[in-house]
Amino acid sequence: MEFTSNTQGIDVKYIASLARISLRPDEIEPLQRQMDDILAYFEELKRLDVGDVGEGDVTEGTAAWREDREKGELGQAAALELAVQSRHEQFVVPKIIE
Amino acid sequence: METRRIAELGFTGLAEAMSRGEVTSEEAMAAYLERIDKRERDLNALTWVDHDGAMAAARAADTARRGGDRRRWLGVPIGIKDLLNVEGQPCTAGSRILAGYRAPYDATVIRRLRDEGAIFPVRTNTDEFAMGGSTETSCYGPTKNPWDANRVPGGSSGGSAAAVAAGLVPAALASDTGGSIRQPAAFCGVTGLKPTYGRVSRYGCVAFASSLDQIGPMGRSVEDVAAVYETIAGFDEHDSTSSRREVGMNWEELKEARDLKGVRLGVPDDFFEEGLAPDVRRLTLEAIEVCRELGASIQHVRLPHSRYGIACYYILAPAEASANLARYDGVRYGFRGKADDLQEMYESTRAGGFGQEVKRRVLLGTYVLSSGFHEAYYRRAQKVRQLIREDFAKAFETCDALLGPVTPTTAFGLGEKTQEPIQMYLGDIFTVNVNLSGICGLSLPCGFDASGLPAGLHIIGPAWSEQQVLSIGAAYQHATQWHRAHPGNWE
Repeated sequence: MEFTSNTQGIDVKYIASLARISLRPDEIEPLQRQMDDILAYFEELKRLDVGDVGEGDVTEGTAAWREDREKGELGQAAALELAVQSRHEQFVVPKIIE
Repeated sequence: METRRIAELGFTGLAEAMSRGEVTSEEAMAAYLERIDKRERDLNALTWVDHDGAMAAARAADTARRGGDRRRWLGVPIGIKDLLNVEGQPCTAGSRILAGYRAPYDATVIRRLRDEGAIFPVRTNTDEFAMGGSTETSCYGPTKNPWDANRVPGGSSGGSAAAVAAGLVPAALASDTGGSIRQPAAFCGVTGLKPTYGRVSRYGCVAFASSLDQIGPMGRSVEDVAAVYETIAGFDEHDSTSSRREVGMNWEELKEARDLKGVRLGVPDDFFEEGLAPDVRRLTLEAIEVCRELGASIQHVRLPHSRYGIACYYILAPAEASANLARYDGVRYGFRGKADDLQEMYESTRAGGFGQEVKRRVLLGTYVLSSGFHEAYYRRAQKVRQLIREDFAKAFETCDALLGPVTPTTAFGLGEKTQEPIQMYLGDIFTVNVNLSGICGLSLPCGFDASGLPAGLHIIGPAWSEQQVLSIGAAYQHATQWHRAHPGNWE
């Protein structure tokens, strides 16, 4: 497997848009520099031949499976108590449809 | 009983003193709250203190005891990292994005301690979402090291470590994703256990990196840590990664741990190469010598892939974090940014709610999982993780446990590494591989450097070997006094 990376010119603004985080103009340059440094550091993994190696798994194969049934531990009232804004037993968010 | 004496009892000592009628829960709680009032302003170890609730709970515990209640930790206080849900208490993970959130339920570890009568008077400071090695990324500001207020307490569980070290609580719960229990324990001169992955339920713990996160205890001795561990460990149907294996732990047996005859201990040469501070090296080697004198056989081993642990960890943990933290969108709880439409609300909530380190890691995680880079970063890191696991498995073929330093240096200065993420990350070099491998590790004090700062001995054991690791630690502490030392302003 060819190890490819892009340690120069990572588009921080684009990645931030994927992560749903708006960045202030003064945040972009330091983040850009730090992320480039970190990605350059990751290059050392390139030294290893991992062609035949399986992927690590620390579980005992018990993870993720359980009966598909509703547990209902947190009721609607308790959930809505934490809401920033609620109305008619629902969360209120800014308008989605124009 | 005088305040200082109560604080010196620790967790199990206080429980025993209460059961013998030497001190009441009300007296103990008042003593701890007095210490908190005196010291907390300088330390910033706590994010929330419930004076009235704690005193009321302590009085209720005393009444219950008079009525015949003999639960093990009845009326004993324990600090809780601000990452664990305690019903009715705030739980912010040190983040502005969870401002105003109050836990609607108990985490499993809390329920288990509550069932045994424990009281939760304080929440301890943490790096935001446990992302950090210094407790400087918390929205509440940095915690100071009780041994030197100009230095960090380590992180991310720096609040728990500082609170135990300063005698603000007899023990505390914390979490460890890449060293966040063991590194602050080492920096603050206390004892901390990172249990095997799957041993302690994470239900009710704010998720950071789900294949790495583990909850564990901190205390003033191995026995205290073991007692809390024994209470919180075991299968929980609410955590799908929880193991059904028997815990098989009895902390009281550790009182008899006096020698290490027949125990095979390995010393990874890779941990003693470049970057290790001379004092930390010397103290670790002295501790290994103590273990030899106690009867252990010592052999050198190699962990050839351990050097790749930092790069591997800082790909996998941010990748998992970027997915876990996607839930913080301002819709259902916590902070919400101002916006005219939904997309803008998500972006302004996360921009205003997350601090710089969290943003950095979420972006990093998003990048390494993004189309075109997933194979090169994430999958490769998963394979390197397997190589690291195999190194440990090989070492454990001939060793019962491994010994080494917890950290390359003792506590560094406040602000020293905040602008240099890689330097901060490299401080995790001896701890991350334990998380990547899902095994257990214990940090315990092993002396002081020339500046009077504590260093930690790392005892690493195979999966499910907590009893043995704690037993080795108990034997070491019975032969040494480092864990009994406390900061100069302890009074």
